[in-house]
Amino acid sequence: MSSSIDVQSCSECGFVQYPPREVCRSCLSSDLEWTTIEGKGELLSWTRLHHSFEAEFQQQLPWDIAQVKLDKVSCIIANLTIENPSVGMKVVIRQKGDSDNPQYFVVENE
Amino acid sequence: MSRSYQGVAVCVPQTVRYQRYSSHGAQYFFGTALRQLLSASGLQKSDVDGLSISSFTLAPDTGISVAEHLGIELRWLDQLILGGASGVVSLKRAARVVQNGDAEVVACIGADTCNPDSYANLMANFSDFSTFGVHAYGAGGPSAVFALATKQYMETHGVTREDFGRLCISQRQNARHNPNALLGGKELTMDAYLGARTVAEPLGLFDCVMPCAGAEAFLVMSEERARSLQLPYARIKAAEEGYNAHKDLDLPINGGWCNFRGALYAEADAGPEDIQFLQSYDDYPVMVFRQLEDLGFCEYGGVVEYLEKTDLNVEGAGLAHNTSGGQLSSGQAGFAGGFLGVTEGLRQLTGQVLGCQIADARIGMVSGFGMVNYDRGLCSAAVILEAGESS
Repeated sequence: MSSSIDVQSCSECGFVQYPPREVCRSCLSSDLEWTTIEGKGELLSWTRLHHSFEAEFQQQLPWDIAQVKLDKVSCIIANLTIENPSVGMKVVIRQKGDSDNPQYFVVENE
Repeated sequence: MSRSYQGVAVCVPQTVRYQRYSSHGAQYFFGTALRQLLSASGLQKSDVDGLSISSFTLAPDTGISVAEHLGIELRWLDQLILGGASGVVSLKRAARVVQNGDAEVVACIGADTCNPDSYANLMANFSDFSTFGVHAYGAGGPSAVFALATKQYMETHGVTREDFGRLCISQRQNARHNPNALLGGKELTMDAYLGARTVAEPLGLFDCVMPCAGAEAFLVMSEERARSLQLPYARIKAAEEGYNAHKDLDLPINGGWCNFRGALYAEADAGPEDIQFLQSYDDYPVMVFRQLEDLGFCEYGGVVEYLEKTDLNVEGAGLAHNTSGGQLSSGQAGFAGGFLGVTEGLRQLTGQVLGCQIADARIGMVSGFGMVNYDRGLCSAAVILEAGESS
């Protein structure tokens, strides 16, 4: 599976941002598009959730999430699927969304 | 132009008794807080011409709805949605309003109700970014994001769970005489802290504030007015607020207070060594560590060493910290949690404590922090208060 992910970028200044916004965080242009970037990055932090407010997740606990830094995006929070994660390790974000939420991300081993 | 708050008095700290859950709406807590403010000050409803409110659970009502609900006519009205920074910012803005003559007596109230559904709904709809980028990945509420921040802090500075545990235990000790602290009567041991149910690794149950219902409130007026009413009061030596302070950092390696710390101490003509007590914003212990660093009480990464030589107990000779037990012992009554430090600071400086009184309280700091819309808190504020002449 490809390790590229779709994120929002500015057609005017090229700034890449996440989460998606109504305007460019840098130049405030509303001329935004989706762009494909490399999903390889660094694990900044991770946690194993033992509690959730939603029934859908309560059934799947414990549930791991991670915070990942990519070259062009400072922080993406996503579902973590690595068995023995450690802060600072190289990881890759993959896009596993459906038509409802195409930008659903998971963090996997590089 | 002078930034002094000369002539302004902050007084009449009031707390509407906390409850784990309540069947009342937020307006009940606003109304009860105002009633207590009037009863304690001897003022009439018609004397209050300014109102500053904060609440998560008031919606769809707003600040003007509170005025109508409580039957008060106002010349000035403000509603702050700044999370745990709301109390300090409310005080700061109300002080300017009184100083400028736009209102004479401002009631500042943070109030929220709580029931199991209200909290889950708040978490699901906290912000666009949170709904899209955090809630969709496990619906863990703020604990999920603070677990990430805590883990990252522990890795960077070699801090252990025991280090956070000692802080939580010291706060619980401070709460032992505070009848409003929902957990105040329960001693916290290190074994209990470490053995508590895990919420989001590395956070256990006692790292997380307990949501509850309640209100915190105070009045802002001229010193002259406070003296004529014979109300003990505090003065503002300096106050600062800041937002989105680390917008260009990959990680929030500070809490934003460092951006205005210099201005705060310069205006107060004081330094960390002069501060007798700190009421920090303690939604999670890691944020207390960040405040101790950002506000200059110790070096970055030096909190553990600082705590080894500094007594945080309300009766100790070090830095009296979260003298009522803080939110970690009292519960977090929504936005009232952001006012708790202000009312407790005022209680210490005016001799109206609920629990333990620190000896000869003259000067202290209150700090606020709030609104984790995605991966970091966006609002930070701090005020240095001193006892007024009639206190």
